[in-house]
Amino acid sequence: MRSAAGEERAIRQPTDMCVPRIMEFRDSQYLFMIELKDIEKLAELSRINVSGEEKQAFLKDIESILNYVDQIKTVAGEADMTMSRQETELANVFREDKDCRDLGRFTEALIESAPEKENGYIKVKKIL
Amino acid sequence: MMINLKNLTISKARGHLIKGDFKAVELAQSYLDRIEETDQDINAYLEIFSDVLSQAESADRKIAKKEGGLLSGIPLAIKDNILIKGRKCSASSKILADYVAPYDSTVARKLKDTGAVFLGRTNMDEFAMGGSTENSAFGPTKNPHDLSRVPGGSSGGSAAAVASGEALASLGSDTGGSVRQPASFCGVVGLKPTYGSVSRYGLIAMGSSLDQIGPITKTAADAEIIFNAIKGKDIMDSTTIETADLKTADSKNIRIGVPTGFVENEGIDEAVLKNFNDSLEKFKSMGYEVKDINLPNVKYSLAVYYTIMPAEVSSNMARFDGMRYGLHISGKNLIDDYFLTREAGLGKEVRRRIILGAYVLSSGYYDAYYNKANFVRTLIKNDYAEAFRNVDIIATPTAPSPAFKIGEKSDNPLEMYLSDMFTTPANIAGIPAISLPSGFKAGAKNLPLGIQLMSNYGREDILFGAGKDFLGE
Repeated sequence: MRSAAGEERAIRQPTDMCVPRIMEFRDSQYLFMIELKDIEKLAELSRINVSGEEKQAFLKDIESILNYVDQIKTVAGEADMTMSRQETELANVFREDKDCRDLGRFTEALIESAPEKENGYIKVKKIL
Repeated sequence: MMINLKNLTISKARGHLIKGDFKAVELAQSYLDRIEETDQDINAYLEIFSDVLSQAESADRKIAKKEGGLLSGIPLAIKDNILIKGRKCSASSKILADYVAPYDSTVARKLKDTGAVFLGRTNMDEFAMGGSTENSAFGPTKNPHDLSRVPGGSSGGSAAAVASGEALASLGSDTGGSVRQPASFCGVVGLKPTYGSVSRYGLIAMGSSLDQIGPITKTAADAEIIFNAIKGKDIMDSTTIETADLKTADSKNIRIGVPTGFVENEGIDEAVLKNFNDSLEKFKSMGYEVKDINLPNVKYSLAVYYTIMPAEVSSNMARFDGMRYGLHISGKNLIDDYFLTREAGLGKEVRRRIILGAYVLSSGYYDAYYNKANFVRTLIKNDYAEAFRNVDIIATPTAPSPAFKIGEKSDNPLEMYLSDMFTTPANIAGIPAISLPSGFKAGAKNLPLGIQLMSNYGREDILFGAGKDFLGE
């Protein structure tokens, strides 16, 4: 959408985490708001606790970082996956799925560090 | 005997060891003595290994039997994110404070095979996230040139150890500049190899498409020796590539390109710019051609980096949940365990980047941020590919300033990130880059400065050649 003055206004799609907001472009600066509840939701998804004070600090920091990285939007061109991958340079490096090593060869070494284990298994609380 | 550590290089030390001027045990002891003398103040090491002398004895036996390689008996410091079997490895994080490596990283295995001696593990920014080593969960490392200043990061401990004579050389890791910037701040040489040329197997991952292990040394020749010892295709790391035997660069007719528009920006310290231009004059006087080039998209490198890297970080950090290794805090149920463990174990910068990464990868923003960043990444790679058709080396200062004071930038993450502006492009493009000590900013204490040289994929030989010329080796 373009106004008479040539400014663009983009409307973001609703996401599962916040209400739709409008991004405003001023000169070449992008200003937008990320909210406290976005930080809370992201922290929850990442299984991280953030204290009240930290939440505010993160909000401010992340907003300023997003403001900065936003400039990549000004780079012309569509993020077309076929363009961004040099197909000819990629090769399949997976080995054939056969001749696997003996079961249990590294079990002891690997679970050595587990806080709780039993009979060659790592023991965790009930997963519901 | 009193070994003069100050003027020692890997080649010289090897010469002495072969001739029998001293033994590996004496050499190792000299470094242990030095560490005891100065590391209280510098805090480069998190741990000095208790078996250093017996490692050195093994090296002596190898040398006596004319076995081992160029690095037999050479005392090295290893960054705390590189696994050595049976030894603690914590990535300077509380969540791995007591973690013991169950296997050798490929680089550790290769170095062990040549008979190198591991002195200890060095301090770093937690999980390699930072540019100052202030984000370590175990206290900052100080810059040996000025103890009130940072050594740079995230491989600050490794750089400070070499700069202060507490190790003959060290290994660091570089995701956005973490080998080169501390090398520049501490006045030593730091190499980030071509992506894929050194195995990441056993390197605690930060940004998997960006990370590379690299040497921090006193000379370009030493960096070459270590690079040759650790490089190579590895079946345990599917992102590794064949590393052809090094070509020897033609030292005549080397063309250096300078992206002047990119270098001369308002964020750069005047002393850095002057030193950079003086360094270019030095190259010219040695017969190098210096010309202006344009890299139209390189100014987006930092923004691309701070989109792609946090995304990869948020993925890579998900494994630290206390279930299989590391810190484990018990809560009322399983999910509570995750929250409590990660809160207690992960520091502020790590949690900030995880959240940022989760944002750029989340539904609704994935296209705008992550996909777009990958697209711009390809444009940047293409800029470099195009430039290397006309020049052999691309030069910039390593960092826009010399070492800053401890605490000066820790409240403003964005300002801290801006000091990566010259180093991130090489990680984005995957090309090799070396930082060479280029002089000092004069002041109450003279602060080291560095010049960064980049070359095309697999052409570390050009960097070593130019480095040896520049440093008069």
